[in-house]
Amino acid sequence: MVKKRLYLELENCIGCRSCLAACTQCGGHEQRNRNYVYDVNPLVNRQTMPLMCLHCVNPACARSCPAQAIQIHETGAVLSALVEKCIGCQNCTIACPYGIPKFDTEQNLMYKCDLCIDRTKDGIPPMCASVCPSNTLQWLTDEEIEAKQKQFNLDNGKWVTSMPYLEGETNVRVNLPGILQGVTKLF
Amino acid sequence: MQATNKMQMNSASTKKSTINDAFASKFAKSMFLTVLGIAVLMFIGTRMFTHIDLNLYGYMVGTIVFLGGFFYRFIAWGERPPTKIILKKGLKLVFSKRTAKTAVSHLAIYDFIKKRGFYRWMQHVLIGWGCILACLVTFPLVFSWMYFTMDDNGYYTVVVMGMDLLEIKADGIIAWFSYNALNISAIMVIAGVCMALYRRAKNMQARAEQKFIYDLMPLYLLLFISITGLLLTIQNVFLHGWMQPQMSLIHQFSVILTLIYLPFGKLAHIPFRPMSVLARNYREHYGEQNMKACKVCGDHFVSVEQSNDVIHVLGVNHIEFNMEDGFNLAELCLPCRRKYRISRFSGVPTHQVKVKEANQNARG
Amino acid sequence: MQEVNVKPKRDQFFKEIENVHHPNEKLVKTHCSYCGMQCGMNLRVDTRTNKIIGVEPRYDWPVTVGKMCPKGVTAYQQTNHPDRILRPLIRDDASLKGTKEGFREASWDEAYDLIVKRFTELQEKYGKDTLSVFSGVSMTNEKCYLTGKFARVALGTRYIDYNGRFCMSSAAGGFLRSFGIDRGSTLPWTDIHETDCLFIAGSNTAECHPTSMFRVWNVQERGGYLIVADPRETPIARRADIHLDLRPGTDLALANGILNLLIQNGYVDEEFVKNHTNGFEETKELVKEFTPEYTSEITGIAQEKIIRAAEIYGKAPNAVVMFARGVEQQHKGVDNVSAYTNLALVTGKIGRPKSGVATFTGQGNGQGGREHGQKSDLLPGYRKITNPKHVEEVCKVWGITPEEMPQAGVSAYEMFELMEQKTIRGLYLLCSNPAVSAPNQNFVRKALKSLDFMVCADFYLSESAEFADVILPSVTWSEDEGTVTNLEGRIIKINKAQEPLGESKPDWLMQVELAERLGKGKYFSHLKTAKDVAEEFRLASKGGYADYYGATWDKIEKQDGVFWPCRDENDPGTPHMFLDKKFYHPDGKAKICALPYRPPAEEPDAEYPLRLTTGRVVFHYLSGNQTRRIQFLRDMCPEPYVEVHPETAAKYNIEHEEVVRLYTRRGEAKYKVKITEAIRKDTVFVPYHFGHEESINLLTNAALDPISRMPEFKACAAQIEKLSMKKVQ
Repeated sequence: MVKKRLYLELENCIGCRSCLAACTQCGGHEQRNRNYVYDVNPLVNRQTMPLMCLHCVNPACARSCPAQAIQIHETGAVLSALVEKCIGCQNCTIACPYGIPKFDTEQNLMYKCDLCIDRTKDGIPPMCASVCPSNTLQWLTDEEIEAKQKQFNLDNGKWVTSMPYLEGETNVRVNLPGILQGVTKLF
Repeated sequence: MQATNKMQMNSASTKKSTINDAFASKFAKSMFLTVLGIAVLMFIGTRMFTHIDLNLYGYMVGTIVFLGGFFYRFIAWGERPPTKIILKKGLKLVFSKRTAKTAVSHLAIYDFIKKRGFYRWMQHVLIGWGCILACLVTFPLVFSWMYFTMDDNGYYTVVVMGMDLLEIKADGIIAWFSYNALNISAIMVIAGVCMALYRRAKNMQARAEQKFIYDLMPLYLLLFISITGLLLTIQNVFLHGWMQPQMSLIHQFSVILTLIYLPFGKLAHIPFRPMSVLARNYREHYGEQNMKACKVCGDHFVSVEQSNDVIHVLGVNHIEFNMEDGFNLAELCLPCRRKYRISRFSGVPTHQVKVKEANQNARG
Repeated sequence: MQEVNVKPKRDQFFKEIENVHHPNEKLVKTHCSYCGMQCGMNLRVDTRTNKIIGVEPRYDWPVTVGKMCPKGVTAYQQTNHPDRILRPLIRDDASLKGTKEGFREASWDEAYDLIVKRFTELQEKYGKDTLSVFSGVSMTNEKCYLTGKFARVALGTRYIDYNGRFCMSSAAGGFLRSFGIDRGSTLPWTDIHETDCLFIAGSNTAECHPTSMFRVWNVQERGGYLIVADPRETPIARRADIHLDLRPGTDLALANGILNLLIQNGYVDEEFVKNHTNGFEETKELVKEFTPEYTSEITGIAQEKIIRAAEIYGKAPNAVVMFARGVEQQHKGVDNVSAYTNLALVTGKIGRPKSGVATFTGQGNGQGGREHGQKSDLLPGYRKITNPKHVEEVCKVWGITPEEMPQAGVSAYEMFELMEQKTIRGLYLLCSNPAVSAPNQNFVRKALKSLDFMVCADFYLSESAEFADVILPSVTWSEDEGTVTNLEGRIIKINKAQEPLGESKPDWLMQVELAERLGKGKYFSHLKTAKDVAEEFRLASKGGYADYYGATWDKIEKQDGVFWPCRDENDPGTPHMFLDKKFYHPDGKAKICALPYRPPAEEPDAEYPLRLTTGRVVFHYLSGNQTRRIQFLRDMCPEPYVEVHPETAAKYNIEHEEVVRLYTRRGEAKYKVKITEAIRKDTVFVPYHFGHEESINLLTNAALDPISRMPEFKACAAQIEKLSMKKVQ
């Protein structure tokens, strides 16, 4: 099985929240969506961006968890807290540099994106990337991501995999808005 | 504080000796003291070792091995920086007023599980209390902290810690409950485990996440213990003790096996669960003291103590989120932190726009 | 017979992906219940309860490759929704009309008997035409077809029309005039991303047809151009190479202006124009007036942008002109459609792959539903009821005599006028919610209330059902099977995933059973399954413009859909129209139309200085009767709002989230303000998915297009009033 990653092309987002709707439909998600879509400049324009768990290589949430409830899957996915282990201290929500983990006060339980582990462990794209109508979220091999980099021909700092716009190496690859600047027009 | 402690320990030889010097490690100390404690209690309970039920010695050995595993795991776990902080600060607050209430809610009636669904709560109550009841009966018997003596007048004397606690009628209600406590607990556990297995077979979420060894094995172990335990009663009552010694051995082995495995698998959450009471104390106590204001919007979102602790813990792991804008990411409330990231991506100061964020928690 | 590759086109977006299969679960391949994209989806069905329990992407559907919008993802929740009507409902107290109150459950027999009794009474007293049927096109071709037959054969009334009059009729009118045939898209969607220039007018594609977006963006990623004409900077307009931010209702001027520039700058395909079109010279003369300066004056778009847009479209080797309700829902919607179509005809960018004209069909079966006889003047296969030969062909299939065929009726909105005048006294409403979707609601609701007897078939108690005397519980799309024609003109198959909930029945079955009770059994009783209806319907469309005869369910399955026209068993269908440069006017030529500009029916003035335009949000569909009940969608967009430009807001001294009164000559409503620079300063926008006092159609203008009878939803004059109360919850 070829390793694939979640790849975000922020330029494409149309703010439809399909990713969030689809998130609620994943087998293990109990109808709760685990990610975010933001209006970038709500009083000015309609630009939006998804903010997904980036599945850090060295995840602050897991490092800060006193109960070792946040496990890292062999695929690199940083899983949601194990229900029996989570002690509800919310360290993870404070630790995450992107503010991703959500907390259910009533259930005294943290929950977060697990990259649809029941799908991705078998190489099936996660729900969000499956449905994303704008191809903001894609499920690609490293070769495909490299090909994208070549295609967009960007040396203007807009091509990003993780650093320096993120706080550390991540399993998810992010591509900032502005990629079209490097595209050569057909005519 | 921590650092100072460590230094004291390291330089103990040059300074005042402490009791710790007697032990090769924390583990050794914990084991020694616990085993010693049990031995003392046994000495008292058995009226100077005169009333030991040697049929149960296997359980005794099992318990000691369990303790070894437990301390091994717990100490390794407690040494992790985030765990250490909560343990230490939480234990300091253990005598606060709120402890009892939180402990009852978290450890006895499992309120938080009820919020995850009545079914799951019911199954957890059955398994949890079934096990607790069984332990409350078994271990005092194993270590002879409690035993029964039969008088001629149709009364039992219950002896607890070497003292005659009370006399009960042999065919009375208390006696009935005493004989059948383990049967009742077995039935509770069997019911609970069956509920759990049914849920795991049916519920897609549970299926998606479960791993056989991790999630199902403990259930099967509990089921096995409960069924073999019940069989002992059945053999006794209906089969005049047929094959009872053999079954007793099987039962005993299954209990010992489970005890040994307990600290290493899913059941480890039982001894570790009190941590959630400590965590709650920690959050509530420091939350009342001083709340951190978000560097962007000013909302109070976490205690200053926890914010600092998390920053410290991450530092120990060589993770630092100090921004050029002059703050640490842990100092932003969660919505502002997310918007700040969007602003880093877009170049637009999203976190400065004073508009409530769109619904991020719509349910499916 | 020419051998055509019948295997569907699979492009770069198509990936072989296995679906997740859970135990005790089967996946039923089908399509979404909502818009014209008809995205492929798998419904997850529990094989023990035989109930739909979820959705799984359909990666193998070549058009949408698993993609879905939030409506699609949650569409399955309609089926077993607690709001479903499970038994027929009767309301004895007519004074409660217009409310949810007074309904009682009844048996099907009682409901049918009552309907037959009242319908017969009314017809005996006031004549056949006192009854009417108001239908919709969010249902299968089979149901649409049978509804037309039901109205004309079982009820024998001339008054049948449908909600496509508020949706697709202008596109239909425009295409018929320009091409002589009305197929929404002249090319398959799998061509869209391969073109070099997309000219999209009046379509908020990212919200209304989101699953087109990965193809749209791909045009730009390849170095192609995206031109968007819209009064609002919608998500698609935000990323366009050129955003033509025109005043609502001025599309005709823009299209004429661009056409003029194309002609002036030598982008005319002389050969194509000469051999395959009529009307060029006349049109050339007419559009001369539309200089960039004049066009800019009318539309409010900067001249440079108009010039640049024309240059790009003209230069593009291949280009597709696309439009939607923005240009069509005007009282000159047909003209707008023909005017934009002119661009393709004059430059010859049509009748070949990767070039053409397309409209974004709004409703799920907006294409198929309008072709087969739900329209007041149409019969199956796009035949005209005014054409004796066409009538005869259909009569043969139906088994009636041409004399028995009723005359042409009137359009949807005009039916309400006849109700109000008591010409129409009875209504059979299905698959539609005009008490939200029709313009000038105050009038429409009055008309509905004035009916002597109204039947409504729906699966939820819609705002319109509140006016009914009898409600018949129909099924959702997932409880029946049949075909639908998507926005490409591709006939696809909807599959049944679950048995009808409660006592609900598919519309075709209700109509058959009612027809039998009305004594018309001999025309209907042979229709025992949806497949039976399909077989008769194929036959009825045979030889028509929209010929479905060759589109058997088998072939649809094998080919991933069949593009009409598909004339016989060996015909693989027609993905690309006009490849032979033959159009469907008698002389085989297309018509380039000379279209003088008309301003919107109601222009702003001192009293009503703002332009009001309406549209969709991504979370809701049409009248919202379905989507407002889905928790996720409701959570994301619980109420309507009015978009106002910050400068305009400052003028009125109103703030973000403040509640204001918005009013026109026809009505008023209160809305929360949403401040955004993504709208013109002279324009305000309100989404139309909400009912009762929240409905923006209380305010909209019912000025009708002379050809399509489409009301002008997209432009009228309005005014804002600041309320004293601040930020009401």
